[in-house]
Amino acid sequence: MFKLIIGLMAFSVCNLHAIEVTHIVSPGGNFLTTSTARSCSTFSVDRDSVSCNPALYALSQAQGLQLSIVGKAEGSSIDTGKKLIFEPITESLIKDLFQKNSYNSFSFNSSISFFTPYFKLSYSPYFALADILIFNPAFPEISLALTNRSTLSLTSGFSLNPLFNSKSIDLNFGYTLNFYQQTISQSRFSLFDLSSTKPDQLIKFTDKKGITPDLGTLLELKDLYSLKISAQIKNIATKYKINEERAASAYYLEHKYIFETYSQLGIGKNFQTQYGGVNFNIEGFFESYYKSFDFSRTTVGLRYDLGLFALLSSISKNYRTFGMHFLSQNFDVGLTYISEKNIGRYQQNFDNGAYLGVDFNL
Amino acid sequence: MKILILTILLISLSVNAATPLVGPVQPKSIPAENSATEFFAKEAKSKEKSYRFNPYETIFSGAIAFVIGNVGFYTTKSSVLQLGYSGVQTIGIINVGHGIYDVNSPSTEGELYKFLVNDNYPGVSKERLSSKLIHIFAQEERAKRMALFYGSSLLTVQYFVNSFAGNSKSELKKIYLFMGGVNLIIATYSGLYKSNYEKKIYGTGFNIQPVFTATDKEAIAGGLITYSF
Repeated sequence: MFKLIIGLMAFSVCNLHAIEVTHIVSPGGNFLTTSTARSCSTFSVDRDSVSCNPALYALSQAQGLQLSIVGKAEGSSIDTGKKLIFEPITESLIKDLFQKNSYNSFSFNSSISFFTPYFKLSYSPYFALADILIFNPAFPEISLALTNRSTLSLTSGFSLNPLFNSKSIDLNFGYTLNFYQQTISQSRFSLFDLSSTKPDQLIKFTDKKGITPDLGTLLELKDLYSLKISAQIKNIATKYKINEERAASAYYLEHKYIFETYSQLGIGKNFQTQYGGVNFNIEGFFESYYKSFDFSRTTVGLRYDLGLFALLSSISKNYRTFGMHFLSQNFDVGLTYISEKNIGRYQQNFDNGAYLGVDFNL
Repeated sequence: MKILILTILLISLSVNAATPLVGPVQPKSIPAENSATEFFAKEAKSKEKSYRFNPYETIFSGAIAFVIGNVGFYTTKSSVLQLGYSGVQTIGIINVGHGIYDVNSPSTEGELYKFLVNDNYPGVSKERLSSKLIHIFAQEERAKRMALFYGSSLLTVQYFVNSFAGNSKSELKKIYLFMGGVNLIIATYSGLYKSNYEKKIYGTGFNIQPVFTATDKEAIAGGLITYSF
């Protein structure tokens, strides 16, 4: 019996799948979604929370122009990621990385959004993710996942209350139509390959273009403590598919809950007190169309706001965040401190860092 | 021996207490036949915030940002985060300035509505309406000017302190110095310049008073110049 258990354990270790990499920065995301690790789909409505759930657009009255950036601003791996994205990949860079951490990552999103009473038009010229894992010290190997995506998005929403004619529920629906162009590289090679092969032959990029909608709903049960329930499906019918062949192979980095089709379910409650507002939300993530529930990505999100100041926090198995958001009429700044494990159990320790978000509102 | 002491010029800068706080007006009864009044009531209502902690919440949240921005700026070692915290300092001060505007602003629509439906003045004469408008415009311009004056004064101090006491890179220190200089000009301008509406209601601001006192032993002569922002 003991041998059988040992045998099963050995099999489970040998039968490794691609390493799933998650990030709290997402396409279409902003500082709010990043600080709450995307657990904000039932938060009270404002200009920022529309990025959490398109159904919130039905309740939004935001108008005007917004320029927004959010990205990793501090952490042991930030320089690495920036070099991987913005500089040519050379042998010396890879060897330099090898001297540092075994896992490094970088994430960044930028957008310009135009809010009208009927729709939100948004263009994101850069959504960049860079992940690099160096493993097998005896015979060093490198696994890379690099992505840069530009997206044009149209978001709108409307109330479905006239269909029900009930005062006890408030049901809203929203959608985002994304037109995207994406450059991706998922590579794995030995450190010794660099001496015989040029990096641009080892790290090959492929381009993808497509149209993919996101759908979202928000239900408020007014008779049941005004509890809010949200359901979202992201990247419907996207061309981005997880490569099955590579997924079965160990040590390939595969981005998860970012580009492929996935679903979210959120439950939350908002409180307005004389001393500020409190928003509470639990968000669950599912693969594909609500197929497989992923407990490790389940996240609790919190927001406390008073006037032009907000505290944001989230906690899940792999992410712990604490952020502060400072707003003014035309200029917002947010800082979030984070402990993260983007590759989950493959990362021994939490990587501590900070994310910075800046918005200009016109 | 009589001592003649010649003093001088005492310049005291004082700030007049702002006009009484005027909060958002809650229209109670709107004459149905008066569509213009209804319009004003609607506008006044639409400009109220749906929820307001108190009239000082903007100043309060600005002060929080100011404190956190300064603590973060002078404790972090990361240059990117230092820049971020510098932004937080700026937002804090901007919000304090905005809060000062909120407190002093007369709520133009609300004031006019209250004036128009006030039963004590059933017939509003041109003179009375003009007087009221001048008063409202003066309050509004003063609120804006005070917000700009205090905001830019605080920013001047903040950027100069960042430049001289912060451990930022030299290029960044030069930028802080430049921004401090720009805000100093704005603060000086907003402190001294008054619109005609403000002058009409609050005066020009300059008050020169001769001072002379004499006793058996001494005589003191001088002058007092007061400037009210």
